[in-house]
Amino acid sequence: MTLSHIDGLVEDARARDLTFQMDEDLFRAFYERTSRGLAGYLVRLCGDRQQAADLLQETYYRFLRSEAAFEGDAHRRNYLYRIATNLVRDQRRRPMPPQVPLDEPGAQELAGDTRSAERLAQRHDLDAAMSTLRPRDRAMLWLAYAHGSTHDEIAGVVGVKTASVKLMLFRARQRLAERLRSRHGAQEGSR
Amino acid sequence: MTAAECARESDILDAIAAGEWPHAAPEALKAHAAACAVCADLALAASALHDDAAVVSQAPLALPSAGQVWWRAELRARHEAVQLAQRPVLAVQVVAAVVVLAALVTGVRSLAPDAWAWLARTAVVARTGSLATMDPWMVALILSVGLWLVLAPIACFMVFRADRQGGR
Repeated sequence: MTLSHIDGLVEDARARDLTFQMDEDLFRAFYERTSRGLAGYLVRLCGDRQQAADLLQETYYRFLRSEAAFEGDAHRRNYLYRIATNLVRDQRRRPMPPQVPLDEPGAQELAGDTRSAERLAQRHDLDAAMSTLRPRDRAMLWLAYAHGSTHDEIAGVVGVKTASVKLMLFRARQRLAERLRSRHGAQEGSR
Repeated sequence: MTAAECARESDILDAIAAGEWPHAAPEALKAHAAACAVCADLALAASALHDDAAVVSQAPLALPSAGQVWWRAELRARHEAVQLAQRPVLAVQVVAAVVVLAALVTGVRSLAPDAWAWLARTAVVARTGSLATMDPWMVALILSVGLWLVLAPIACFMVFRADRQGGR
C-alpha cells in the first residue's frame, strides 16, 4: 500500500463521514431560530458565559452529526436542548460564581435609570439564586418559565418521566422562590 | 410529597407571559398571589425567569454566526474522518514495528555466542587503528552496513517524496 492509496482512503472516508443532519442553508435558518434561546439556556445552566459559548458550538456540532430522524421543528429543537442538557451534565467543572460583567449584554442598557438598576439587581439575585440549585432544577425551571416548554417536552430534554415533571418542577420552584426571598430579605435588612 | 396545586396558577402564568405581572395584573389576582403560598412561589420564580429570558432575547448577544459554526463543524468532521481513516494504517505500523523488533531479538540471540569474540576483535581494531588484524569478510560487512545506513534514508526520502507528489 503506497501513500497515494492511503491518501485515497482518507479522501473516501472524508466524503463518507462529512454527512450532516441538514445542509448549510437549512442549518443557517435553524441556527437563527434557536441559537439565542439556547445560549441563554446554557448560560443559566453553566453560570459561566465562556463555558456556555464552548458548549453552544459543541451542541450544534453533535446535533449536525446526529443520525436521528425528526418529525418537525419542535422535535428538532427539543433534541438540541437535550444535547445541551447532557453536555452540561457531563461537565465536571464546578460552575463559577455568578458574575455580570459590564460588557454583558443588557448590563449597560439596564444601568441607566432607577427602574433599570432595579432590574439589573434582580438579574444579580436570579444569578445567585440559580447558582445554588442543582443543574437539573435549573434546566427544568428555565425550560418551563423562560422557554415555555410543556411537561412532555421538559421530560424529553431532561430525561425523566413526564409524570415526575410536575412534582420536580414544584420543588425546584419552591427552592428558587425561597432563595430569591432570602436574598431580598438580606438586601432589605442591609438598607 | 405531592405537588400542591392551585386553580389560579394558569392565570398567573398568563399574566407573566403577557408582561402584565405585577403592575398591570388584576388586583384580585395579585391579592390571591399574596395569600396563596403556591401562587406566591410561582409568581416570584416564573416572573424572574421570564424577565431574564426577555433581557437575553432582546440584548445583542455576542454569538458566533451560523457560518462560523458550520465552518468549524466541517473542519472538525474532516479532522475526525482523517483520524478514523488513519487508524488501520497506524495499526499496521505498530504490527510491523513489533515484527522487526522480534526479528532483531531472535537474530541477536542466535549470534550471541560469536558476539563476544567479534567485539574483542573490534576492540583490537579500535586500539591499533589497523584493519589488518580483522577478517577480510568482516571488513567488507562493516563497510556494507555503513554504506547501507547512509544510503537507505536518502533512498527512502526520494521514494516517499515522489509518492507524495504523485498522490496530489
